[in-house]
Amino acid sequence: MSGGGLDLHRLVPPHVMAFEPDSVAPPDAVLAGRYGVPGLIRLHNNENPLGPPEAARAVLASVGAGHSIPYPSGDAWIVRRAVADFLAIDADMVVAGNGANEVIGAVLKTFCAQGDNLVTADQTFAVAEWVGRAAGVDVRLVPLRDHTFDDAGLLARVDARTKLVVICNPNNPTGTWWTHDRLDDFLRRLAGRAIAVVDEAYQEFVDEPGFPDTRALLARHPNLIVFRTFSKAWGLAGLRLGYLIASPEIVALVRRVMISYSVNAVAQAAGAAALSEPQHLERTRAMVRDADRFLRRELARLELPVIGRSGNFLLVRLPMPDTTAHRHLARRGFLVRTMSPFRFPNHIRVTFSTLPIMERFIGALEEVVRVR
Amino acid sequence: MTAAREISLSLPADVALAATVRSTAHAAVSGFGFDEAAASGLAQSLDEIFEFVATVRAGTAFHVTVADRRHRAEAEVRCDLPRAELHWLSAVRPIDLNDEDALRALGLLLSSRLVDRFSVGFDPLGAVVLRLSKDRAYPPASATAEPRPADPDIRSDGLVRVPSDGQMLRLASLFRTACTGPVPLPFRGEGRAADMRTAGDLDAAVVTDPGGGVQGAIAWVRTSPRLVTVFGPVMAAGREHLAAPLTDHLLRLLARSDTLVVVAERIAPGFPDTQFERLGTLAGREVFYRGLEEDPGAFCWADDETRPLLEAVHERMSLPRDVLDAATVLEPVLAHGLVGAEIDRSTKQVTLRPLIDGRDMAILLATHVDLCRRDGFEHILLATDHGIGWHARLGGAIRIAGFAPRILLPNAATGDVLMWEAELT
Repeated sequence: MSGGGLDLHRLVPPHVMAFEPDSVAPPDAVLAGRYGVPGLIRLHNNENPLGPPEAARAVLASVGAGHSIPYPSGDAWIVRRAVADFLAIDADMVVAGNGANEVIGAVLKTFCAQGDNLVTADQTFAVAEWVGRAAGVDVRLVPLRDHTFDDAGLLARVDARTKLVVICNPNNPTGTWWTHDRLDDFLRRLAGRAIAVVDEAYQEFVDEPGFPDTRALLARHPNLIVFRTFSKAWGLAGLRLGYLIASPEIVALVRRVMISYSVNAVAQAAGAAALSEPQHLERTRAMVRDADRFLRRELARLELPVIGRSGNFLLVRLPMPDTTAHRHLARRGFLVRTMSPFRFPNHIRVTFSTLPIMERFIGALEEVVRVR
Repeated sequence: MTAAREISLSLPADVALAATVRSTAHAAVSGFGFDEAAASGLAQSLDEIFEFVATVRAGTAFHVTVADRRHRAEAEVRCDLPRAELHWLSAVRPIDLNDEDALRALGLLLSSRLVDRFSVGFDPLGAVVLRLSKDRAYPPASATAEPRPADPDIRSDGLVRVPSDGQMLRLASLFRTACTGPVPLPFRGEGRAADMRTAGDLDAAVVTDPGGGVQGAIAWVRTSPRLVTVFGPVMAAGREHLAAPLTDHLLRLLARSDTLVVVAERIAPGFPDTQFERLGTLAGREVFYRGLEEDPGAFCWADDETRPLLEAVHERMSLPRDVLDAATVLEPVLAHGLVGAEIDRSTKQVTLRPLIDGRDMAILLATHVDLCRRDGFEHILLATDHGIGWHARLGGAIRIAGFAPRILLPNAATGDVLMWEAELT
């Protein structure tokens, strides 16, 4: 690479040169034009088709011309307080960011130097893996066991240079999760040798008993960090708002590397308003239950195996490449997520939506599978 | 740390130093353990290039590195060769002894014919980079050991692994046993696949039984920065059920890498059809494709000749493409173009690729086909990259030269690659 004779490669660290950037799709309208369809129904990003709670909508509706838009609270004071009230914890235990991804990056910057390592699973949400590699951190991937994070396998890879162990609970994309007792036992065996990072982006969708009680675990394990997001059940993905919960000591360290003002004023206000309307979660869970029941039945009829337990998505194995199915479904107006990049070849992940959408989707999927 | 087995020379392009280049290259290739034919072929080829550069660009910097890649000796040349002279490198260009211009460049013309592989490229700063290589001669493979009797209880879990050097020999043996048609080059000759793996030019995975016996294998090479070509999977009798898990293993390895496209051919029974898209037939073999990422859409160039075909494929494969008119691409500046040729004489196949645009491309393509036919090649293929405007403008000339379009490889290079095959006359 050169720019006017400048050897840019010489100036870039090797781990950055070796890093493969994420491929980003064009906006839906552009993609729809390329696929020759009037629009695309988004079943690929695990968003909430019901949108945000009414209270958050009201905040968004109030943003208009004529208002001055001053700087937001620099450390997301508004939303941190709202989260603290919602979870009945102290606001000094919360760090909010421009999406949970920003907070994940901040945790990595706080604890990891080049040559340190982080341990996570091979078939899971990849942001920790990506952020780690881009920072020159050795990323150690442990295979799932029965589509679930393997506690013994993770512990076996921990050594003196391990700074983070990252667990997705429930796991995206398999939907499996560790119970309270299993996570508690894992943290006990980890014994403070590394920070345990638990991504709970999908915890709102778990409606079975036994899911970890974050508050109780934080009280017992000072090396625990839990991530949550407003992008999934709360329906605010486009505002980019996520947060971590941890001990005040960890929060104080992470805040050293957080960029002030990264969470905009609208996101803070909308996020805080959303938490005032927990009944939105009930409506969302009901929609998810209906879609889950319908999809499982229809996919069984199509003889397509599924993997999934909790979450607003289902992993479906196809008798064809997932990338092929993605194109043919897009041509029929549906976006799904290919799972080859998650190391599940021939699988797609489908986000639950309302029943009319699910019925149309099954019709399109049946065409695609049958045509082959 | 073991040092790379390579020798480099940096010297001014001066005819008086030609012997130095020749003797150094010869000594290096011989020292790497290659036979006299390889040593003298590569040395003579380098000598011809050096003398030509010394004639047309006397005194300019000439850098050559001769490397031992185990299965082949490879030379990389960086020099100040004018682009207008590169067309002489065409391996199948006719030599007209009455053409003064051709005689002036005769050495350069010969240089590409003295080696097994010759490519022309440019570094990021625009300097010419020539790569030429001679293959190591391998003894014929020994009698094939029969794979062990099938054990129906064997499972892939935990048994897919990176083969040892010894298992690489059994892997090659399995390929030779299982292939129903021509055996791919890496598996011909005893030891070539193992050497290619050591050189980093081939990767492989095997399914083994508890005793370490190779019961199934898959191998792959990186054909271009974004494309991986797969060989196999090939399975021992009764092990066909392990072909899909073995392929899954490869696809997981390639996930989150810079590989976008995997291409495979059906070379043996048990090919996992559900993990690939069938593109069609090329050189008598079924070709399959697998994208590794969601296709975000792209543009592609087409002329009147290729537009209907490309649009039909886009429709059939649901490929999101904006088709641009290649007629708007500027005409070439150079009088002479250059077409690269990858030659595999054992399968009588040659693959041509347009490298440099020139006003004589139509004649050049037709001449290539004519010469390849006269030389006994049965499969004459041509690859055009439809992410490159001037490639797409050649559709009419390509048709006239006798080619018919066969398959489209999405995202295989700058853009989608259309593979053509010269039709039998």
